[in-house]
Amino acid sequence: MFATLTMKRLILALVPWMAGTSWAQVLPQPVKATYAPSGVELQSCLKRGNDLLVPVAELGKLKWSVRVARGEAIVSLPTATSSNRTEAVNGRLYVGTGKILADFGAELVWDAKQDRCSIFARVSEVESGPDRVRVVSTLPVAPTVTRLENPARVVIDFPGTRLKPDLATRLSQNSRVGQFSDDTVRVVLETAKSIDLSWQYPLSSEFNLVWAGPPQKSLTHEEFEALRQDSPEFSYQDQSPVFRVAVQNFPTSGPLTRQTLGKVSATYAIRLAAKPTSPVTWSRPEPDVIQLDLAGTRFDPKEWEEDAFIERVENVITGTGCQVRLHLKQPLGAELTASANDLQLLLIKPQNADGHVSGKVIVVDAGHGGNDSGARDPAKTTNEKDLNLAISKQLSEQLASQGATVIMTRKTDVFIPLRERAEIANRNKADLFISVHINSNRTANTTSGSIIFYHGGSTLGNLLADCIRLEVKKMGDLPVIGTWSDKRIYDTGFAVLRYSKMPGVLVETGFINHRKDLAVMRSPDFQKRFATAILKGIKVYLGDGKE
Amino acid sequence: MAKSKAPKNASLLLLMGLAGAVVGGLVAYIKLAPADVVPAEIRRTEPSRQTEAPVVSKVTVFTPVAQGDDVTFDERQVDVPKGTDPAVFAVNEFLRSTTIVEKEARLVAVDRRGKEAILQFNSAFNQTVGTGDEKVLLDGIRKTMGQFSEIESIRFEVEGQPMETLGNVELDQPIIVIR
Repeated sequence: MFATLTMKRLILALVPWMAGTSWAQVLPQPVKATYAPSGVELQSCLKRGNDLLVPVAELGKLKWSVRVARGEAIVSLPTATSSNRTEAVNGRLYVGTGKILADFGAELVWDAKQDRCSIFARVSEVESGPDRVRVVSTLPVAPTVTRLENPARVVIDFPGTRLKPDLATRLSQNSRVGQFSDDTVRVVLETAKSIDLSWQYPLSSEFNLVWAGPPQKSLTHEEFEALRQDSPEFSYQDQSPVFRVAVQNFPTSGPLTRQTLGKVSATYAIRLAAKPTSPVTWSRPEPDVIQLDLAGTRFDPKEWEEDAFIERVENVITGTGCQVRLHLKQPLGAELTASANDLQLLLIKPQNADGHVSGKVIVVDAGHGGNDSGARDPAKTTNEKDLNLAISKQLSEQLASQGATVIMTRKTDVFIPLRERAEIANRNKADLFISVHINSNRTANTTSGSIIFYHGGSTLGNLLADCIRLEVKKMGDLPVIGTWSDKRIYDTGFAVLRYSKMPGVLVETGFINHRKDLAVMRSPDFQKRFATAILKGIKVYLGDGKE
Repeated sequence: MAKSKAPKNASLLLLMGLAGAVVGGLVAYIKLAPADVVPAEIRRTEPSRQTEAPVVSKVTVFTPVAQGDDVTFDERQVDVPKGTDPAVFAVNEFLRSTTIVEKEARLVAVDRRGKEAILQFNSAFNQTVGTGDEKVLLDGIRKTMGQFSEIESIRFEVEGQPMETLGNVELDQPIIVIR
């Protein structure tokens, strides 16, 4: 009687487990597996439960040191060692990688259908100084190093990586690290120094980039060409010159090839018919148009199947080459890296660009104030701080009327330290930061017009600045000088933009010591319309500009 | 059992005494020995002292020249008046050439702390300007100070207090000179 009761209880206890168990969890199923840091496909892999069984022979592809002894596969990396028991499946020797990856601090990510998985490394340590960068990852990774201009910076991407939650950092002021996309950690070092051209970066758990020699400017096209000819090991097809150091994914077909497509960013490779005769430039003639100017070469767009980022591609043949216009689905941040016959384009969607100003938190910063008058006109009858406040109040009222939550760093004539202005935005988790200023120039009545500044190499700051610039230009009251990085003034940029953590701009409305600019800027009507132009630019940036 | 403990304790005390003597001797050696025979890694370091202005008869004076949206600088060699700090003289000549700052604004002194120079301005210099002028002032002063090879970075002070900014660039960190 007692034995029967016990058996019944045992069966009842096992029912839920049996119901939730499928054969797939018991018998290994074939799956596709990718080693994300190098894109290598691992063959003949199996899935059992949440574990990935990999043929031991396949692990050599990952540059892991593997040996088998006493039924165990022992995997050694420079940073750690792990092991797991081996097992024979269909006559092949397999090892479960779940335990090994966990020991290494790496990650196994299954897709929604559970029939494909990717192995991700984690970036565990980042250290930088003025002349060096050191990055440690939990698995071997092959980074790509890119030199970008305006402002000069070196971008190091670690594909197939994610940031370790307890990431150890020791960063110099001119560098930053972040999860750039779902599968890439990016380290950016703002420096004018050129890259050490010993540019082979194989799979490795520790990446070191050290600049040798004195500070140098970036290589010009001609300098690069000269260097290329002096470097017999240089391969034009799989190495990239002027800006990028390593190229991982050359397009395999078509002049325009999408390489990655994520929710917030996408990358494209653009193949040209021939080497451009001068460095490629790009501009944003409209908020949703990226224009590439290509001298001495051709580009044949053929048919472009639109995606979430690029709607259509237009090609205009010019006397010296061609112009390629990428018509975007919405205003997007852009970064272009160039080589002599190949371009890489990165497009980034603005955060919180849901098409609405309403609901956004926007900090409006009226520059200077209190005993800090800012610039003054030659007659010393007008102070910059007063014009800044008048325009800022107009802008705040208009933003609020559109449903935005507006925070002014000052509403009266008071002094607020620079850092505090940025901290106000950070504390309130603002979506955007807009600082309003008036410019001055040492010689009166020589320079006239507006400049919209963004911080350093901020891609989204640049987009916001361009959106505002194009709206200010439409006003026609004052010339528009351009969209400038604040690094044109000094390497660290402007304090308010540097310390605020969201996309931001500093708008220099006009020149206080130019008589025409001054007369215009004093007018309340201009102040109101100028504020409207900034508002419109913000709306365009947020995808709310079509009404 | 109690008997065997006594010799052990005695040797322990003897050892501790010896160790104390060695440490004490080392401390006395560091304190009393002449500085030049004390190894550098354990020598007490003094705060860096103010260095004197270099003796030069001529300096380069920079004058800003507009180049489109950018600014370049004309250079000319000027004799340094006797008894004048050449850096103070060169910076004030530059300021006078810009017409950006008040006529009364001037550099009063340069405190040299190793490779860093602290520029002491009078209160008339304490005036923020637009970004265009800010660049001219920063670049001009950086170039002017860059001609003195012993100086690598500068700081700005007005009447002994650190300046926050000339406009939008924060001046709390040393500013690197331009050579």
